[in-house]
Amino acid sequence: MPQPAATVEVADAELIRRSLHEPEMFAAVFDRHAPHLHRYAARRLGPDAAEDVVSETFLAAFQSRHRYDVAYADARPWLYGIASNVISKRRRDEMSRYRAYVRSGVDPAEITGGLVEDSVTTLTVNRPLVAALAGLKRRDRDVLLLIAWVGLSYDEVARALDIPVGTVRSRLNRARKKVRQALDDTTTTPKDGLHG
Amino acid sequence: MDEMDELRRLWATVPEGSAEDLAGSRTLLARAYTADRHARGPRRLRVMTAWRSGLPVRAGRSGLPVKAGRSGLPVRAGRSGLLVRAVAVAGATAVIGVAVHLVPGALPPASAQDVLERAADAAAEQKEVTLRPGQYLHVRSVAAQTLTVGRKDGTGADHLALTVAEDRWEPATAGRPWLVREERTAATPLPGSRLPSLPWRHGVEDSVYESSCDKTPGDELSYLRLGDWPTDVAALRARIEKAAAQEAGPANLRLWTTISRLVRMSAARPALAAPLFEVASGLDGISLDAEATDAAGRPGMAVGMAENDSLRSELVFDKDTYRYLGTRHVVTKDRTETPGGHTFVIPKGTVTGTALLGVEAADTMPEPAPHASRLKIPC
Repeated sequence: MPQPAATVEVADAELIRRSLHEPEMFAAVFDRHAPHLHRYAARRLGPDAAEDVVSETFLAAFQSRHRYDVAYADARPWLYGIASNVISKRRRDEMSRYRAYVRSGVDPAEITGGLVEDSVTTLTVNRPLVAALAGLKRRDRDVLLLIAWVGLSYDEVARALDIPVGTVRSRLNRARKKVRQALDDTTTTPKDGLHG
Repeated sequence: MDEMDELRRLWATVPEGSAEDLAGSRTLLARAYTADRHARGPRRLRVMTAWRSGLPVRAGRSGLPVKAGRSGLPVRAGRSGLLVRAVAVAGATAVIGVAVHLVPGALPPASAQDVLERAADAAAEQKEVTLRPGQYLHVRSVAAQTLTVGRKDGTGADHLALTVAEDRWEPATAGRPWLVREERTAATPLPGSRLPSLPWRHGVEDSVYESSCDKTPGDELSYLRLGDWPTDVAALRARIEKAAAQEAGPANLRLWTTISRLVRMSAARPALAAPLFEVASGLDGISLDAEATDAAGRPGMAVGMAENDSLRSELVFDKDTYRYLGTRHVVTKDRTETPGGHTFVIPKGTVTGTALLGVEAADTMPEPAPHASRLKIPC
């Protein structure tokens, strides 16, 4: 995924390093990554929870910035690793969101302008897709969505989740297989496999 | 278009967080910067000044109040009502910092559910112990037990906390004998008791179990039966519910007890332990003890459920790796027992349990001691 233009000026690692003595420097890291992290959280949990996830993630990151390995210029794996843990604490909310969508076909991301129903065509794909997401193990879902929605590489996901790259591959393969099966079998009852 | 493309399209219209969406977080962070600056000097955070001084609670961005969290730290209620650890300022000069110890990418577990999910992750990364036909599964553990010994003079009984080393050899092939080898290695009198005059050490005690069954009889789970249990979470839960239905007590406790037993027995099969932890994480009534020590004295954190008003059953996990360490029973208030007509009290805080030390494949089972007790198990 392309980096915001600002990153070519000062790498995240340098900002984080400087923030050890000038805490306000951390604001640049926030400005650079918070909008997209909010979007990622909103896709998984909805906009209300996204605000909380962003707050909790960046506060945690700020408090632990002295442990950041400045050998890594891009802080996204670190930030999304923290966010994954924050999101995991809301796993039930995530499952509820997916289940609600599978049941009603209402896009749960839309709350301010009234509920919006997806079109029949969209639902044909999205319902089994979301049901499959709900049926994945959390750790598999984390890997899948960090790659699909955040655009992290395998190495970056490994760093984010503190797991070997081989584990990233095996989790991704397992998750992709299940999603592919769900899409291939559009007759699958939507409630099947919703075990969170 | 493959499944990854379809996934990328899913809810792709969700916009990035706007300035308004992020304003609350930005404000909280700005206060954290200030708190950080104020905390320099002695590099410690001044925590909770405002709360202790009873200053009024600040209203959050959304008009919801900032309130104290479970840990005593201030938290903010977001639009959704979800709570966020945050920093707060209750005056121009009273700065409050967040005192959370965090590792990048690894927040400390906040709940029993959190610990179990991490334990599931840890188990999923562990390797299975697989046996060839004719081999044995060797499980090493240490148990903390209590022992009551009647006094010779009839003045009552003494109660001892025992440490017992246990080695178990289970066959990979049905019809072969098992061996359980135990040895008491330490004894400590409970308060009000003394070490009995009779020797409490018995040396190595071997028990041999023999059966001609094609599967291990009796136990719900042994190495021979490990393969029977499903690893799919939904299917596993259904199987657990079926097994738990045969036990007594409240539904959740029956499930917890069954899961605990399965976890204890499935040391060789982490692929089963992982979904067991996931099923356990969905049970109502579980809670976290962040400071627990297993029967081997290793520090950990425990997830448990009250069995009754004086006893809690727990699974203990390593604090760093979240690997399963063992099981415990903790007496949560003084407990009166009347074995053999003698009444005595097991004090609050008494812990019994088993700590798992290792699991490995063994080519042979040791020769049982000549005086080993032998038990034939009917099919």
